[in-house]
Amino acid sequence: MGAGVPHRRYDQRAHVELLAVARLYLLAVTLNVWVLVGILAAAFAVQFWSGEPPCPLCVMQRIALMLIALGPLHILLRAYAAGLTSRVAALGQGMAIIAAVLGAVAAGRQILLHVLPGDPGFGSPVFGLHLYTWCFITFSAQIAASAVLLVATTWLEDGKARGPMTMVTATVFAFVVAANLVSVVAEAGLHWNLPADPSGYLLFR
Amino acid sequence: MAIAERSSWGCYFRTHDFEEHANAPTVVQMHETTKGFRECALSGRSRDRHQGERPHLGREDRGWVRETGVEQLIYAAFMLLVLLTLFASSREHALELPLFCITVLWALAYLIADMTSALTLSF
Repeated sequence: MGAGVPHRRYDQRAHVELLAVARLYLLAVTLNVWVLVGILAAAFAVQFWSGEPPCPLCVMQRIALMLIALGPLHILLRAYAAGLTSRVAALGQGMAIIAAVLGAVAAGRQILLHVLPGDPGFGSPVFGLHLYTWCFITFSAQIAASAVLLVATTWLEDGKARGPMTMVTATVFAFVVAANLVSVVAEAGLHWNLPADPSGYLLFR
Repeated sequence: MAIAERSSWGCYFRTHDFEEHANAPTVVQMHETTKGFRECALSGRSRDRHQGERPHLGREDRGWVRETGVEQLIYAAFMLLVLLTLFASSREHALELPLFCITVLWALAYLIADMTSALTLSF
């Protein structure tokens, strides 16, 4: 190496720190997916235990939750295959924000339908709020969280970091989506229209 | 109570009619007239059930979504698209992003179509 060329030494400490940041990032993204899966599972629990099948707008909000999860899953799956890059992370968080805005529109729409005084709302409240209100809070929180993680991509260096339990997370998510698909078909039965105020599963009647 | 007339925009403005009369009903009374409509907006049956309360609205005013009668297929299609996008993502397929965009735009169009139907605007 020539005397005039600056010598760049391999900084092992910096490398370890960057890898730790990437792993922390992937951990946060994995947690994000599991939170969304948990919300979808909780919605299922309310559906079956309380005997309250989802209305069309509720299904729309579930679809938005699924679409949000596709963003973090994009990051996890790409990192699993070829390593984490800031480009992949930015794209995944952008997908999550777009889907969260869609969900917020659907939830806001349902909130406004029940905004008049004296309106009891749709379905049973959970911890004092209806599920669509909780959904609106969730979508807003998701937008904020994705924005923070989007900013955090600044500190990401392209590397070979992999998220924990990537394939398990993706498989569980796919199972939840498939279960919702079956649920919607069971709810509508062989009828064309999904019931507006559902009280059971038309497929089994 | 006067029956609302169709405006030049093809929408109904009942509130405007209420304001024209000295004995206009209160907000609570207006709410009473819409009782039973507290179900979700993306619905066909509840609106059909209460259509008698809005005789000025014909079937054609209830939005293309319900008229096509493919709501169930749409919800199933949305979820199938989510699964397809996930599959494309796991295979690093180039169709992942287009599939995601199609699903989001379709869902958004579906929501907007429901929110801007003449029946919704009549409230």
